[in-house]
Parts: sequence; structure tokens; C-alpha cells
Amino acid sequence: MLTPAPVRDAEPVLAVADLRVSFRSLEVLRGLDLRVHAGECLAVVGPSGAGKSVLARSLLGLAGEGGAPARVAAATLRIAGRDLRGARERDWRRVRGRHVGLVLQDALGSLDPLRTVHAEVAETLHTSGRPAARGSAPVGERVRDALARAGLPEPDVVARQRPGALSGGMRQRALIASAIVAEPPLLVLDEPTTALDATVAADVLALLGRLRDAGTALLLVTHDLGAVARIADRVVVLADGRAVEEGPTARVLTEPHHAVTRGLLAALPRGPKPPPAPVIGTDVLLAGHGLRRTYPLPGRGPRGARTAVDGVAVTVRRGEALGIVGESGSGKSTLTRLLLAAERPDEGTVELDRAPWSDLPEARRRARRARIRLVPQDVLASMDPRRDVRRILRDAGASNPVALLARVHLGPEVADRMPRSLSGGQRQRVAIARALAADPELLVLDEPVSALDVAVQAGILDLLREVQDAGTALVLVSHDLAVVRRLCDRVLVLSEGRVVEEGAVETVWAQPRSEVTRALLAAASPVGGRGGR
Amino acid sequence: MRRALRGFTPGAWVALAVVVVMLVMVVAPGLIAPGDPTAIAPREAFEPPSLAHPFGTDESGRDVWTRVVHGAVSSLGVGLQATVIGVALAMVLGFAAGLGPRWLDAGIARVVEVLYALPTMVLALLLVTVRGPGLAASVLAVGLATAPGYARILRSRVRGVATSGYVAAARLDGLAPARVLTRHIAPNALWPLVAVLTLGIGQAVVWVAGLSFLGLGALPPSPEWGAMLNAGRVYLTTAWWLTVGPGLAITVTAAALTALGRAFGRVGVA
Amino acid sequence: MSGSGVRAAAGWVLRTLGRALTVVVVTATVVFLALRLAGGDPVEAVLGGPGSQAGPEAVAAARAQYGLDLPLWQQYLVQLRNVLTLDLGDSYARRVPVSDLLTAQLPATAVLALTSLALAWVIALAVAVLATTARGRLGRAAARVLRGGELVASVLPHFWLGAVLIVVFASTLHWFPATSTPGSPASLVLPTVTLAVPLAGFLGQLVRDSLEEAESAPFATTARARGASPTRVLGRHTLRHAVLPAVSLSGWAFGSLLSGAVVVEVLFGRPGLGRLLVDATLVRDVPVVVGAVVVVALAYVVLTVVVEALELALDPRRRAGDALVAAA
Repeated sequence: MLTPAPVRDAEPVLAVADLRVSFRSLEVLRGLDLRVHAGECLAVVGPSGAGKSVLARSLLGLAGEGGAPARVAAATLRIAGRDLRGARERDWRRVRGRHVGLVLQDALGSLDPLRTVHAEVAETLHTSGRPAARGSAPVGERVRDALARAGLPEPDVVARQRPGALSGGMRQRALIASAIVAEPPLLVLDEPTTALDATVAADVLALLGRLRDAGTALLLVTHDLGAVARIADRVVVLADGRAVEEGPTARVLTEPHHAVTRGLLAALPRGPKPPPAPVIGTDVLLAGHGLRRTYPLPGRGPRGARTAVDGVAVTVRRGEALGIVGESGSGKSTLTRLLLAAERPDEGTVELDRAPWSDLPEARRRARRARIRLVPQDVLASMDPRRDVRRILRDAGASNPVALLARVHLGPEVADRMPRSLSGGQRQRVAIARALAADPELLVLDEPVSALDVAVQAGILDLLREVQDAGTALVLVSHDLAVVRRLCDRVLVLSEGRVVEEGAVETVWAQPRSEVTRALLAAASPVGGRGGR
Repeated sequence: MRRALRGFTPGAWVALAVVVVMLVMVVAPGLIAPGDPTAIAPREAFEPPSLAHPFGTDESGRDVWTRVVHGAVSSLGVGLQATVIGVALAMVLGFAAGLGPRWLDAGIARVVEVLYALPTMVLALLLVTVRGPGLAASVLAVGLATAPGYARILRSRVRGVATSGYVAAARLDGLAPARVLTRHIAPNALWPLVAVLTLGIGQAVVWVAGLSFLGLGALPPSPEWGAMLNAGRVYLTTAWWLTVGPGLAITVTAAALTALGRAFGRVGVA
Repeated sequence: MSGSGVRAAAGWVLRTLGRALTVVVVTATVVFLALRLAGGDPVEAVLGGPGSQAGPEAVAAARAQYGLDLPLWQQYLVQLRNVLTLDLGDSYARRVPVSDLLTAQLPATAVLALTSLALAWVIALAVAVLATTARGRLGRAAARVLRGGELVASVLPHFWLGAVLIVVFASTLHWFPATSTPGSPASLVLPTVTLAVPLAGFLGQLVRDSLEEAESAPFATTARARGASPTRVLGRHTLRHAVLPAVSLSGWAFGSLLSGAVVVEVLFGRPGLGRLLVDATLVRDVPVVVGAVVVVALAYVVLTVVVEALELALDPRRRAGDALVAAA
């Protein structure tokens, strides 16, 4: 124990000492001590590969999920007063669902798509060894109650639907409902908000806070320090299968003791764009006027259509970094495609350097495409799987691939690798190198860091800053306001296909005018409050 | 290639070894069975399998093992020919559908789907009816009858590659359509054909042998495996080895080529 | 609700009819192309193949009788009309209506195909479940053997498997007869097994692959985290996911069964569509071959309707109600 836990008289709901989990000869957890009391939220954070997910599964006796047989040993492993050291599968089954619930990251995959929400939520009530369920309220009522507690409006309607018909946030709530229906004293959550939009994630975190306040013990496994700051009482930092730091949330996040914790915090995109201010030209490089794009809805005939982008005006000046922010479905991707002339707008035009761009036939546009390049969201998919990095860069117009790799801080040996064999950060750098190959004046980046670890993320943001300082304008599409603030000069907030706010990043940050921006800011407020206030 | 072989399972190695032996049978059958496949010895007719005659002897006293080994060239040859015919037709259809306008794709997809559902053997029999029985007709029939299956694979593959992220990226990089086709689409769409072809030859050997077995393909004096089966069918209850030996050759060939094709598919495309 | 239900049902009927029409028209077109463009002079076939001794008058008469003197496009339309009205003509060889021949042979083949299909599914499901749920060193070794066995089974040629079964179970052990006697269930055993085993190998691989995938899917983990037993996870969750891909490949399974039935019927001397087809092919009896192809195409249409109903039952996501909710 690095810091003494607050004194509690009651026995902890979860007590773990010297937990070791290994797969074949590889030890993933190497002697871990944890305690969670009723009404308390313990967060487990750490870089990827630290063993976080294995920990979450081990607490339900499911460490072997995913193939390799796991060996689990512990000096203490007690859940709600039950000794589970050396418990057999049959013993675990009585504990799961009833004494400990599990919520996984991907709610779409974690709910059986073929079954109704009711069937999924009620499952725990139907599994064997549930004498407590008998004699209490009927299943339908308990399911409805669980859905309501998970904050789902109209639980009766939702219960009849299937997960595919629900939005991401509703799915996550349904999954939480299925974990709490038998009212287990302990809830294990593995990255429960990672796949969600910032505002939806904030709602789900608020829900978890209410569950905790009602007395449930929460073990929250996450890499999102923002989520930790919001609801965790205590934090355990995991690195390489061991707890390297533990303490109250406020202390760990503000005065980290261990290098790993400091690294995690330092990598967080925080604060305004670092000086010096970039040189921004006065002339407009790319301009979109009155852009509108609708897509027909399948099976709705000619009248059914969804307007993805609805009367949007955009300008990007030479050397400027513009951020485009919005929730998923706000029209960010469509706007990106229109700016790149990958798609033609239904109304309005895009001009590049005061010359027609979106109105040109593709054959005439082709020669000018070197001036505006995209770094797509799915970087791996954008690289031909049968070509090595050298050829990918040559294809994009690079005369000296090795020099280009050096520019994105990659060694010459990367040139001979296949895209699949690269790490996420390396791939992102190769994708940026490829976009820079023809010396473009404008780089469009679609969620360039959202799939990356915070540490890797920080490196990519530094690289993009270098790119801008070298004179290339950037358009950064992101759902993460902290990233945009770190890198961009101006920001455009999209909601339902319209621009709801536009201006200098710091102005918008300090004085958001629209409701949407305020919600995004509130949801994104990182560790230690936003703007350092 | 070395990277591909490293992903081979033990089963795939066995399959590869069997295919290599088959290829030796094709190129130099004398190395494996030095005897004369046509040498008759009426006094040794209908001898069951023994050390001297591993697959026994037939009604004229010919050694069935020797005949099977020397028949490899014809059986595997017709399998290869039929597959080439099928794949060639499928490539035309697959690329036209995968790259052409939507209506063409829809039309080809519809037709291919119907033909794919019609039993291969029934289609082949229809085509044999048209041309009349014979080995050439049955090879052509099997080739055409298996084309819908290949066309289906190619079409979805071409579509998949044409709508992939890297093709979109290449277009946004300003690459001309013809270069996109030769540099990205064709290599990526055709690569899985290595696996499909390997698998397909095994299947085609079975189909052609099946037609011969029905008396519609190669005719009995030929050591083609299906023809040997057809000849042996009459003696099934008295001299079972006449059927079992050549049938075993067909089965082992098909199993080895299928396993090898799967292995190529696993390590190559994944 | 009822109004939209009626509309959905009407749409379904129209779609099914449209698809059936497509199948029949495509089939008729392919048959026409095969017969008229690839096959030399069809009148030769009418008169008994190349080298027939028919005089010029007989040739001219046959041409007129079968409409072969008309322009090609008119011949095509005639053929299309004949197929659509199920007017299949008379057998050249047997001088009886093709439809009589086909209706006489259809039941035998249908019985064989359906029993084989049922047996194949039983074997495939059993093998897939055993291979996926096997635990321990011995269990995993057995699973590996099953996996190899599936591959070999799926490529077993019917003519060889049938021959081996005859040698072992008919000639040597005398358990089952090698040849068919009408109304004897025992004589159905070997043909059924011959037809079912390769299909079971194919279905088994498919079901096992998707079962393994479903068993390691997050929703299976979540179900286990709710305290569900392996049996419950299998029965309520994963098995349903596992059979879906194989069910949608029923069209292929149908084709492979009928291809096999051709060989099996000849090998075991069973009556049926397949044997009729082979006999007709040997003497180039074009109307019978065309009729058999058309009947097979119609059977396929019936099959797709059954498969669609099955898919709706297994996969509620495909039902219209859910689709509307999802689009909203």
C-alpha cells in the first residue's frame, strides 16, 4: 500500500491480494492487491498491455476468455464475502451476475444481436443458482426496473427492441441494466465509455455515479483519465502487471508519484496551443460556400432523405489549422468528403485557391490533387496490403521515401515493412508521410489520434504541429475538443449538418455561445478542470 | 513466399507433400511405377491387392497401381484444363460486374447467382448433351459449369477491392483510373485466385472423373481415373479394388489440393 | 399495424414471384444458348446424334416440327413460352411427354435428397458442437481429428464413397442392400449416407467456424458473466449465430445434393431424376434434359422461399419491423 486507504469498518466488497494470472509462460498480472468497498469507485488505469482487461475478466473467473487457458492464483480473492480462491467453474457461475456484474466496452458486440433487450437483461434472472430471484418481483417487472435504473426512457418499448435498433448510448445503458438486474454488490466495468461520443459518455458516467451513490461498488477499468477524474474515488495505476501507484483520485492526478502515472498525465492533450503562433496567410486557400448534401434513406422512396450537410460555409487560410468538431452524425465526415471533392455537393461549391474545385470534372482535378491531401480515419485500410511502405510512399509521389520517413521521425528500416506489421503510431506517421509526399498546401486529417494511446497521441500532435510550422495548412476533424484546442487556431462546431459556432479556438473555449459547444466542453473537460481554471 | 510457408499447419505440409508426389506422377510416372500401364497378363487377371500389385490387377491382368500412376497426367491435366476454362470465363464476368456500371453488376450477379444454385452436375450434363459424350466435351462442360462459382468469388472480391480504403486513397492521391486498376485492383483481386485455383483443380478432377464414371467422359481403355472407375464398376462386388484404387487416388488428390488451397487462402489473404 | 403488415406481405409475394421469374428466365436462356449456339445443328440431336442416317426430307420435317426453321430470336421466345407454361414437349427417345417422365421420377429423388439433407445437418451440428466444446488435452486432440475429418469428408467423391460403402456394408457385411427395391427403407440407407457425408463435412466446417467465432464474441462473454452455463450459452446464444451462414448457403447445398443424387442414383440403381437425366444425356434426348433442368430450377425457387422463412425465424433482424425501427 502506497497510501493508506480510508478506514472503513465494513468488509470490502472486493478484496484481492497477490493476484497472479498467466497464460502459458507469460505472466500478465504479477501480484496485485485491490480492495473496493460498497459505495466506492476504484479506477484501474494504465497504458495498453498493462493487463487491465485480463484483470476485469479474472474478477469473474473469465480470465481464459479468448482462447489461451489462464492460470489464476491469489492469496485473497473475496467477492461479497465469498472466498473464490480455486473456485471451480460451477462455483463461479453462482457468483457471476448475482454478486458481480460485468460491463464491456463494445455494447453492440456485448449484447446478443439476435435477442431482445428483455431477453438479454433477464438472462441473469434465469440462470441457475438464483434462489433470491424466486419469490421476489416477477421477471418482467425486474427487467423494467433495471432498465429504468439504467436511465432508459420508456423501458417497456426498449425491452421489446433488439440491440441493433438502439443508439450507442442506449445500448450501453441496456448493457449496464443487464449487469445490475440482479443487484450485484460489485460492478466491473471494462472501458465502458470508450466507444461513446463525449456527451453520451458523460451521461453514462453520471449514471455510474448514481449507482455508486446507491451503494454499488464499482471497479472501473479505463485508459480515459477524464472519466477517472469524474467518478473514481481511488485510482490504481497498473503497469506491466503490477500496481505502481495507488491513492485518492485527486492526489494521483495532481501529484503523481510514479513515472508511469506522470507519463500518462503528461501525454494528455491539455491547455491551449503552445507558442509561437504560426504564420497564417491572409489569402484563402480553400473555401466552401453554401454546401449541402443529402443521402437517400434506403427503403424510403424518393421523399425519404437525410441531410448530412445543410448550408455550411468553410474557409481555410494558408498555413492555418482549422478544427472541425461535432458528435458522430453531425456531418463531419460528409463535409470532409465535400472539401476533398471526393463527393459532389448537391448545392454550393468548393474553391481551391480561388479556382473552381468541386465543379471541375475529376480528370481536370487529378493534377491538382497533390495540393490537398487526406489522412483518413482508418489508416490501415487506406494502405494497399500488398505494397511495402517504400512503395506506398513512392506511389504517393515521394522521390526519396527514406528522407520522408525521417521527416515524420521514423527510421529507414520502416521503408521495407508491410503496413500490417507496423504499430498504430507508426502507421499514423506513415500515413502522414504519405500525405506529405507531394508537398501539399493543405492536409485534411480525419480523427488522426482517436484510435491511439495517449502517449502515442502526444507524439502525433507534436508532429502535426511541425507540419503546420513548415507552412502546410491543416483541417483537423475530431470529436475531441482537447485535441483541437492543442493544435488548431480556429474551430468550427457542427451539429446536425449545420455550423452552430465558429471562431478562434481560445475565444470559443472561454465563451461558448451555443448549447452544443457548451455540452461538448463540459463532457470533454479533462483532468483538473478545463483551461487550468 | 517464405513468409507464407511459415504459416503452414502440419496438415498443410502433408497436403503439400502429397501434391508434390502427384506432380512427380505427372512429370515422370516411371519413377514411381516403372511398369507398363498397358501390359496385359491374362493369367494374372483379378488379383486382389498384394505386395506385387498394391492396388491389385484388372480383368486383363494389368497392374492397377501402375495404371493409376500413369493416369495422373490425364486426370490432373483435365482438371487443370477445366479449371482454366472456368476461371477465364469467371474473370471476364467478375471484372465486368465488379468494375462496370451498377446495372451490369446487378444483371451479372443475378445470372451468376441462379447458375451457381443450379447443380454443377446437371449443368455439366446439359452441356454434354449438347456436344455429345467424350472427354473433351466433359472437360468443357465442367469448366463452364464451375465458372459461376468462380465468378461469384471474383465479383465480390473485385467489388471489395474497388470500394476499399486504399483504392479510395489512391483516387484522392490523383491516380488515374487505369493506374488504379493495374496497380491496386488487379493484384489484390487476383491474389486469392492462387488459393481458389488450387482448390478448384481438386474439385474439377472429381467432376470430370464423375462424368467419366457415368460413361460420359473418357472411355475405358484410357487410364484416366474416372474411366477406370467406370470400367471397374461392373466388377464392384467381385473385384472391389478396381474401383477403390483409382477412387482413392481421386479422393487423396482432391483432399490434398483442397487443404493446400485453404492453407494458401489462410496465409496469403489474411 | 395491420395495414403495414398487409403491405409487407404483398411486397414479399411480389419479390418472391419476381425472383422465381428471374430464375426461370435465366435458366431458360442458358438452356437456349447452350443448345442453339454451342451445339452445332440441333436437328442432328433430334434425329439421333451425329452420323444419323436421316434423309433430307426427315431433316426438313423435324426442322418444321420443332420450329428450327424460325429466326433465332423467335425460337428463343418459343422456348421461353414453353418453359413458362411448363410445356416441355415429348421425349425423342421414349416418345412420351417429358412432364410425365419427370413427375414419375421426382418423388424418389426428393425423398433421397431430403433424408440426406436431414442426416447431413444432424452430423454437422453434432460434430461442430463436439469440436467446439471439447475440453482438456484429449478433447482438443479429438477436436483436431474431427476438423481434419470434416475436410476429407467434404471432398469425398460420391462415386467413390458409395462404392466403398457397397463393398463394406453390402458385399462384405450384408447389412444393407446395394441396390434399390421400391418401398424398402433399408435400401435407402447407403444412398442417403453416401449423399449426406460430404455435405455434412462441408456444413460442419461452416457451422464450426461460425460457432467458434460466436463463442469468442463479446456477447458470449457477457452471457457467461451473467452466470449462464455453457449449455445455456450454446442453446440461447451461439448456436443460432452459428447455423445462420450455413442456412444461407442452402442454395449451394441443394446444388451439391442434386449433383450427388445423379451419381448416387446411377451407382445404386435407384430410380429418380438423376438417373433419368444421365440416361437422356447418353442418347442426347434434349427435351428430357431441358425438362430436368427446368424442374431443378423450379425446385430451387421453392427452396429459396423455405430458406427465407427459416432465416426470418432464426434472425429477427431481418424482420421488417426491426428494420423500420433501425432506420428511424
